[in-house]
Amino acid sequence: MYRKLRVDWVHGDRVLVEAIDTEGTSCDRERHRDPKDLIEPGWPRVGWVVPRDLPRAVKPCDVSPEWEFFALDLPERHNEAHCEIRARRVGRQSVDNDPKIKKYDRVVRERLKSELASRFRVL
Amino acid sequence: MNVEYLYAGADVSGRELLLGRGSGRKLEGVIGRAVTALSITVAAFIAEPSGPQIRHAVGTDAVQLDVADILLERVWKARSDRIQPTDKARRRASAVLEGFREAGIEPDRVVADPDGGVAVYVFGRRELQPGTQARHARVLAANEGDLIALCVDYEHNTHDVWETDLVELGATVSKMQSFLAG
Repeated sequence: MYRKLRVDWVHGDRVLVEAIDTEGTSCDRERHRDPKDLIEPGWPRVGWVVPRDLPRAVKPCDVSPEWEFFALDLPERHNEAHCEIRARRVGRQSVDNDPKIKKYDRVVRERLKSELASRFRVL
Repeated sequence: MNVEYLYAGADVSGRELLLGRGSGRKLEGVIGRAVTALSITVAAFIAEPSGPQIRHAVGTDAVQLDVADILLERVWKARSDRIQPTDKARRRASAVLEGFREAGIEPDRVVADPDGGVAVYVFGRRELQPGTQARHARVLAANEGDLIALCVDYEHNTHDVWETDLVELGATVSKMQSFLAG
């Protein structure tokens, strides 16, 4: 999966937490997208991650449940490749982005974002 | 009247954000990350007539925080569809910058956080590969008023996150300093 990136979301070949959206991180599926097509003014870099590398069973702190990330195909009218990386508590089957994530404080969210960001590599 | 023009843009490759300053419409110096001035695609902004004041140095070049802050704000507003940093977050980020400086650390990057806030980054020295440091530390001054500290070690895949506050900032900076030296 590819994600277009702003220049200040990148450090070397790594992606920083600013690139992660706790409401669902939009990406494009590799099989439908040439990463060069994602580059546009304001979005000069492209990050890459594969679904099997998404974080599983992340426990941000003692009082938080375990979380996992998963990819969901969400083709759009003008972008068949569109998908989203979402988060949910481990054990839940819903493919919605877990609404509970907003109820946790920023410590939990920042930890989850950092875990996900670290799995990307900049092309 | 000393009208200064502030410049923000990316170089042609799009790989580096550039912050620059000058008088008139001539770019006289790069104050942010160093790229060649000739290669920029520029958006020009006019500063306050009195000109910026020097309060901080950020990054490898001598960056004036006021200038950088104005630029970051305007660049951010110009290109963001996400939550804008509040004045409270900006003030607290300024205190964080000051805290780093008092410890002899020059922050490497100040960015607006898409979830609301201002994040201050310090990268370690040891590289995993050229251009990518093995460790970095970040303090987020969130719009809600929280200060969230983060230490990331790519080599050992650790992500240490904790809430701090301005009273504990010295201890937080000290902890980060030790972490980055490791």
